[in-house]
Amino acid sequence: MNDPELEGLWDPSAGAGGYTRALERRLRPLRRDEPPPLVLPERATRTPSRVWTYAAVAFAAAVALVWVARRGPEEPAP
Amino acid sequence: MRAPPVSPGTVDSEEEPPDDRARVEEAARGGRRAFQRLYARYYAPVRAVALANLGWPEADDVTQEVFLRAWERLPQLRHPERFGPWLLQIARNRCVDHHRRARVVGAPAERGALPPPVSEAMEVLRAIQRLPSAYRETLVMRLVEGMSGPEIASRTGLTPRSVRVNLHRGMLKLRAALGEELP
Repeated sequence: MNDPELEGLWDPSAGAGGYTRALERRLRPLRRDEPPPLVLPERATRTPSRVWTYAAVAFAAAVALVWVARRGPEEPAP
Repeated sequence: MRAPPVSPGTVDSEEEPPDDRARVEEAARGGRRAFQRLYARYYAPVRAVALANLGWPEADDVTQEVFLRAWERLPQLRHPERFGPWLLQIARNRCVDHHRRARVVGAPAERGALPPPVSEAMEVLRAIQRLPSAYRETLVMRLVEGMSGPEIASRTGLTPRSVRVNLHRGMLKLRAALGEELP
């Protein structure tokens, strides 16, 4: 771990070794100094408020089903 | 016996600074400015993953796709502090999709001869791409994108020790592959 070549890999400000610097120079054409602009679209996914709406409707439907099931068959008229 | 490389896909601690978490939460609620800041901060590591797995110039298109997908899916991220590893995993998945599409559609047409500085850089990049995944991603972050070890650790979610190990072992393997004199 005391190899200066390897130490410079971790912390470039400490001074990278000659081989590392040669690699950096060779790879330089592939680097982009600034990210290109990113245009964000409107989010297509459901918003949390809509998710809650769906959940509330599903819950209400489940409660109604349970209520209907518990009522059982209608008593025949006397 | 050598320990296996530590993959950036395996998340093993290292807290993100609190401002990152706040930005992620704000962006998840629709904050575009917060997301643009995350884009500026994470552009280099995401592009490094794309370069390490695909090459140039495909990496630039895939990097944009990764951030657009992240923007759509951010509200589903349960642990904002894991934003970096989550984003890099999206990048790896997009690279796999890209390879799959290329197999179905066919290899892209040759783009013509690259100018010498780029073709020489591509020779070295191809040697890096032949290394195990953990080494190649970390090395591209360091050698192409110019990130320091601590920066790599904070963006990838790897421990500083894991990054150091990946850098050192990766460099030894790369040096063995390229030889003492660069091609």
